[in-house]
Amino acid sequence: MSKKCLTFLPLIMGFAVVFSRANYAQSVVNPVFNNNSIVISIADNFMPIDPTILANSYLFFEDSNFTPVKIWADANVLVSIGVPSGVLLNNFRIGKDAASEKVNLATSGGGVPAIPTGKSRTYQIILKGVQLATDSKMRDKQIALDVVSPEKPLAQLFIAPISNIQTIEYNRRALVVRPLGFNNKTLLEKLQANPGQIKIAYKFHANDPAIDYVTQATKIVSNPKDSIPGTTFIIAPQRALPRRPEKYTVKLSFPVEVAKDSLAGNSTVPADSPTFDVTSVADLVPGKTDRATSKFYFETTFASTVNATTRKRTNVGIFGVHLKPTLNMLTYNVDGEQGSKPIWMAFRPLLEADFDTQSPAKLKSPNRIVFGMDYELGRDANSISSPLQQMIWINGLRYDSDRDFKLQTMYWHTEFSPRFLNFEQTREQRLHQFRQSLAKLNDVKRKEPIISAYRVLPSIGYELGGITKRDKRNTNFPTNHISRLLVGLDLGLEFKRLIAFSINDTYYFLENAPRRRNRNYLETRFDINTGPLFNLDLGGLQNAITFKFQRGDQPPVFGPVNAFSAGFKIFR
Amino acid sequence: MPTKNSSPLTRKAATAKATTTKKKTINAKKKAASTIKKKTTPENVFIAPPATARELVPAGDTTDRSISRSASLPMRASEPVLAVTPPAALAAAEATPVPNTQAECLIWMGQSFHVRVLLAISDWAGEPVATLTATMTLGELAKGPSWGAGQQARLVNATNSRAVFFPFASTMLPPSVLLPAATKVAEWERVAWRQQDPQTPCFVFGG
Repeated sequence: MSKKCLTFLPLIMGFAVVFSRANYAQSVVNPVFNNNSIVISIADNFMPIDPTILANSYLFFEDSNFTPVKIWADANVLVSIGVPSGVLLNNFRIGKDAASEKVNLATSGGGVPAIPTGKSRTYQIILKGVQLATDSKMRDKQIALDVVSPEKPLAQLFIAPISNIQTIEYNRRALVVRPLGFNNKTLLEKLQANPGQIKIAYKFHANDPAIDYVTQATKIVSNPKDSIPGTTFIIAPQRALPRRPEKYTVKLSFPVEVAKDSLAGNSTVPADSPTFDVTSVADLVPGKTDRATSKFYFETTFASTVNATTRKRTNVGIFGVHLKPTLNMLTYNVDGEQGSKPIWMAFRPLLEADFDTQSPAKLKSPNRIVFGMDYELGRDANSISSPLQQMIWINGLRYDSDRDFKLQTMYWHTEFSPRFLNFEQTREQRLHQFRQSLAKLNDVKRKEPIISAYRVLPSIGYELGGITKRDKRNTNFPTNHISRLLVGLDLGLEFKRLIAFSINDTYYFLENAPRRRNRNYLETRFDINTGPLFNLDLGGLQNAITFKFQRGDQPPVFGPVNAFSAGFKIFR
Repeated sequence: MPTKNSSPLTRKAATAKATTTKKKTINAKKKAASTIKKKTTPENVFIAPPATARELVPAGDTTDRSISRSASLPMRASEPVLAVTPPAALAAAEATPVPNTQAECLIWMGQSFHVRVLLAISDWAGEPVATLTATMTLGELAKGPSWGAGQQARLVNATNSRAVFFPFASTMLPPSVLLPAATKVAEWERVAWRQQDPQTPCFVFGG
């Protein structure tokens, strides 16, 4: 390396105070101001350019009277390891002539005033004659660059990009942040004392039907993967970062007093705000099939039946509670914590209750309560175009009884559930795909697909166990052991996010039953989503008016069910 | 070669000439063997050049011929993309302060990391770096066997051989899933960034 280079390069790599609005790899050109030089890295390769045209590059800013002030510079192509990689602008001056009065973009000179303390100035760089590989011809590039005052620089917090890369998932339970201008140790200790003071606000895109909400951090730790320990922190949000069809903003904030008490050097924090805020963009498009998601619904419905022989009308209330949460503590890689690893698993408690208010002697509606614990082991496909997108193997221990706990059974439940390509698409996936197909027409605002979600989920399983308490009244369950094969099919179709049809059918083969070995249980639903009536965030809960029809033989008693009911449903 | 019919003088001269030729051949062989041996000696193994701030030079400055050249000249497809850094320069480069601030990191990413990843892809694909664009896919760049786990592993090796995180000692962890053949060059750069181990202080600024 020549002496000339050695004297020149500290200009580029000095420790000046800088701030660049550009984000690396989000744009082709990426300007960085450093020690009164501007380095414009070009992420894509660019075609050879004529230095004489490049020399005509300049920059300008608008003064307090909104009059453009033009500043000239020396412009040279940067070469890194033999590869042209960008443009260097330096030696700023007020005139094109090299002998003109010099300008410092951050401080002053040549009649250009200094940037007021704590403020920034936007310079527009006009880069002449650069032809990128994607350009058909050489054309001027206008690039904006913010330069902040070097006096009392603002302390900052940076959030690592939140995005999936192809099949590599972002860990949606972590935000990696790096403080600059802070005493990291002090800041970490102060935040660790009360992680709940870190608020995390999600603001969704105008075209995204999701409702904005605020949550908080549950934990903040020093990043164990740091090459220099203590450089970055990991903040765990209370809820995993949502997958959304559009980009959204994530705003972190904590009390400004905490920031003030943790400043390093001559850094400052904004004096006019009660909180210290930092915002980033999350790009978590739901590309793949969902992994174990929390399931919850509670419904109360009403049925009115007429007895065929007595002609007597009976009013029946039917209740249904289905709860199968995904608990962070009991999962592995469900939210992409392991990045590219395709295996995930979850221990999930289970509560299912379907029963009515009638006497067991004459009921013809569901009569079942199930408690259990399932272990789900899943594997994603390597490719997003693989025909089998996901394989899920569920094993669990279940306690199954009738409403009055007269007949109690316990068994091992095993189930294999394949997820085939495009056999299931969530609302977010459908919306994203739909908008992508319209993106070229520039007509995406608020438009939604007619079919907003659908699913075709087959499964096959086996249950093995026994009776722990026999109902002496019931003669419909003659064996002491449970050995049954089950084949399930869950179909769902939702229109415009408003109306949903679903059919859930389970076929049972009772291996040790002396008669009627083949049983079947069917549930069909028609839901009208009433969520749009209440535009509130209820912790992700939705509500609907529901009509359902249940028919067949339902475990554990395999008594006949035949009921049509209407009611209200709260679900997630 | 001397023949039976030639005169003794001619035969002697011919024998002497043949001996000289034989010696020359042997010497040439020894020299070649010595060259081969020298080339495989560890201290002379080809070293991927480190890109440091000191290597970031304006194209107009041609004092360092090993790494800089005028970008105004078209890059030829057959032009070698590797530049051997002499040990002295390597040692000097290692003494370079590592990037730490946002500005330093952004410059380092754009000028060193980005170029090194391109060079790694160039090594792996056997394509001149000047022909690589951000939108090219790994599937179309893969030579020999089509894109698959083997090709991905080779690309990870090429990326690590190029010490893309220099001056940091971090390496790229191989992704445990196979990326699709449609993965673009720019996306591979993001994957390499995401998979850095350990994470550099610049981690939050890129990817």
